[in-house]
Amino acid sequence: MQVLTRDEEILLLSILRLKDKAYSLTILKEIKHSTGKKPTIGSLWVSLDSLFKKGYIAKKLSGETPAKGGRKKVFYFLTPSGAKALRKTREFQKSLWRGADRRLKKIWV
Amino acid sequence: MTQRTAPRLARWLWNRYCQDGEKLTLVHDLDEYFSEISIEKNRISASFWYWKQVLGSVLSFSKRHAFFGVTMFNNYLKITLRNIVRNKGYSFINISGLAVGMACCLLILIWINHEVSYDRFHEHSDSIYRLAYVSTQSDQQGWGTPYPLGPALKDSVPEVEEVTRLNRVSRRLVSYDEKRFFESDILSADPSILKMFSFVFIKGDSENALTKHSSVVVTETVAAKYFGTEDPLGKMLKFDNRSPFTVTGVVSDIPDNSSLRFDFLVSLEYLRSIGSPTHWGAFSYDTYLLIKPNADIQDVDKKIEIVEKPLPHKFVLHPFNTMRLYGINESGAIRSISLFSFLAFLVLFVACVNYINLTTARSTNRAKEIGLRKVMGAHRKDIIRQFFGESIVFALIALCFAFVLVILFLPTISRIAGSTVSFNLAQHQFILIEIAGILLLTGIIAGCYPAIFLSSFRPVKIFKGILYSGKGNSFLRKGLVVGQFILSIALIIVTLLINGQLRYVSHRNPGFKKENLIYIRMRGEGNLWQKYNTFKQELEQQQDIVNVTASTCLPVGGMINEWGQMDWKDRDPESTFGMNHMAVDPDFLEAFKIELIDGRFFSENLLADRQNFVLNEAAVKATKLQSPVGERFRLLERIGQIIGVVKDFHFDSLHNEIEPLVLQMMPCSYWAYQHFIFARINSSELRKTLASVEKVWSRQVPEFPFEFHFMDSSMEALYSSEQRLRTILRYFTIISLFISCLGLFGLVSFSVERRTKEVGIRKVLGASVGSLVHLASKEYIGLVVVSNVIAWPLAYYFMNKWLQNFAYRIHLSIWVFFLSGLAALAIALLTVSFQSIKAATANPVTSLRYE
Repeated sequence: MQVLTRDEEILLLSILRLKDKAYSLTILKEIKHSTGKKPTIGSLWVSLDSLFKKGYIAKKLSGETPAKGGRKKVFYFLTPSGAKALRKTREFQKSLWRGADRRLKKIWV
Repeated sequence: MTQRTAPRLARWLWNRYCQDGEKLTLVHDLDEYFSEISIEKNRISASFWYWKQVLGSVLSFSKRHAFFGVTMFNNYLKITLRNIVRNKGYSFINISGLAVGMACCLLILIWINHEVSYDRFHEHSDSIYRLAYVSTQSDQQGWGTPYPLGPALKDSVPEVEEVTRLNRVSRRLVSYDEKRFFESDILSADPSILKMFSFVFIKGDSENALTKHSSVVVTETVAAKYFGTEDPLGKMLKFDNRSPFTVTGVVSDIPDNSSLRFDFLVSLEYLRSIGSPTHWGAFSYDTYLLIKPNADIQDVDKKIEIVEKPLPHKFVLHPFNTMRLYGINESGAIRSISLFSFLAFLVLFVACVNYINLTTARSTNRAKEIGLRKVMGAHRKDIIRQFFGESIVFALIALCFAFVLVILFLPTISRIAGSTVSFNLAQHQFILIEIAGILLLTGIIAGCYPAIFLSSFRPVKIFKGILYSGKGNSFLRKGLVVGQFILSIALIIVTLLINGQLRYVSHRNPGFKKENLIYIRMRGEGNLWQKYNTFKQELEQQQDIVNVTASTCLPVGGMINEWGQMDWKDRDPESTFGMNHMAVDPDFLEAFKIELIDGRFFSENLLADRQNFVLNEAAVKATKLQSPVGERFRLLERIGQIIGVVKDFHFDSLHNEIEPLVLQMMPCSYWAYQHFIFARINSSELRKTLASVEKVWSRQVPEFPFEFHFMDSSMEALYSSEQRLRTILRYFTIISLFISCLGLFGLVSFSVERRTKEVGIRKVLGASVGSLVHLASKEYIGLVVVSNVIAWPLAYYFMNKWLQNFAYRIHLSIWVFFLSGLAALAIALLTVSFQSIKAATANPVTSLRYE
């Protein structure tokens, strides 16, 4: 299994954070909130689709939330392999950063 | 609640992109966010945001599609190119056929462009019209108009802005100092011609160039020919050593695509001063009108009709810029253009048929690939797209070769079309689009059936090994081969018959001896004619000159016809008909070797003969006189006796029946007469004889250069349009036969390849080479026979129609048809047997080891 790219990582983390409320709009807002990027809904959909194809996320067509006017939405969830990928990425980062923090502090800015 | 106030266009666009299931939710998602933003901020920034979202998303969607498309395209292209390289023989057949077909189409296209561009370079070409007369008694139409008509129209029809009358001046000797040439491109026109038409002046100005009667405008080439590097303006040119003209302008050479051409342009006054008729009855001028830009032409036509004129004829306007194409009664270039583009299209089709046949016949080779693609999830439309792409790649490669062919054969087309046709991209802005059109057309015609057929394969059947037996498919293939050969055979027949007719025309005895007869054209003007007698005497003294005679008409391509200006005993006063007439010298009969069947011919010594007439048989028949010799006869102002009857001889092209002809004796004053001197010479020492004639000429008339023509070649020239047809058809025949045979070759080699084992086994079991060849070729030979059966009636129909143009024509003999069919059969047999003999003589050991 490969390490996730930064964009994939951001997406997966957003979905994870949103728990069972992750659909295109909330993901869009979450990304904007956490990174300041403003992707379009279309490019978001394209990336979600490729994540889906890789098996990191699952889709569920449902959610007649009365507050939303009772229409259908596509909700996204992390799959076990998605969670594994995130974990692996995290470990990879940790190993990358091993001992780096301390040295970084010594460099005079 | 969702408020649907999102920008409508953007939402519609977004909707179009989110058609399939899950994407549909995106529409609502976007709506939701939109209403949120519009509540938070305002509608305008929300709309702005919405648009940004939609456009950005569409971009990222299509990026993904494009990426996928490019990958597949690369794959298709790779497969196509590999196939081309792997099957070099078949690719060669396909590409060369298509290249030849496309080259034909391109050449014709270039020619059409050239023809269409005729006369369009004039600034006002859209508003210029040419007058044509329509006879009210018969259907006759023509360009000729009387002299006073133009000015009359300008005075009484307000829409007419400008009028130009013009007429050709017959051949003149033009001289400047020592330089003397006969010139025949002399145009005489009203000064307004320079206002109406856009001839580019290099020197002098168009305003005043023709205002004086003695001024002449020449083209650049002519100026260089006469004056070299000197300044032509103000120089004096003499016509026939008499009338002096001052050069007042030089125009740049007239473009090839102009139907109005001249080397010298003089004022119309010149023609009037030399006695050209200016009354209403002489239809010898061309009249061009410049109509105000937004006038209604039908309206103008009506107004022209009511203009008072002492004539029963109607005059109608023809647009100038389509004159070349349509002429009067569609007699223009459009007829040959449509015929030849039809043929070019057929040739292209024949080439496409090769592609269709070879691709479908060899479909088994591609079946596995198609099956695999389908199993991997290709839709039928993807396969169709792939094979269309393949045929377009073939067409594209063929196009490259076609360009080479076009460049090679452009001079030929120019020669056939009779004008310089150039392949100039800058001149025809649309040619690139047209070329792309031909490319697509070829790709689609060639690729259509293979694409549909190949994409219909079922993967399961393919992998089970049960391929389409292809009954219907092979039927179509046979049909297409038959179609190819129908065209080829019909073209062979047509070409042979046209050839036969032309040979008949040139070998038919015209009623006189046309060989070794030269003629010199003289004009009524000048003092040449007065020297005729001395000239004749001197010529007759030359040893190799057999006879010398003269006439007022050239007995080639028709004569002067006079309507109703004659009388004889018991003439039906109601009947009005015309007779051709010419005046001849007493030696005419002897020199032309025309047979006299009754009475006697003119005699030099009898003064009374100057009033007498000789008729031809057709004239006798027309007059209905029982014994014509001795009857009184009147022609114009001459009244005399009929003294003899000559046998009919051809003085017009064989398109027409021999018409009534009246001969009278020279000299004769009639304004339209020219004079011709004929000399029958000994053929043995042609060059020496001609030199001696020239010597006599230059002694007698030193002021004019010596120019002569051969009678027989002038007669050949009557059939130039038929000769052109023959040339073009010959090319088309060869091309179509070549492509058809290529296709046949491909099909046979494929079927032989597929039956290698069968042939091997048959051979082992004792089949003879002959029977094997028969086995491999019988199917195709049968097809050619079938094509014959269809091609013959077709060719018969067309040739029968074509031959109706000739009053004297060959019979449509069955032998020509038979021979053409046989020739096609022989060529097909040769093509087929080449492969089948190779297969039949192969060692069965190798063929059985095959695979």
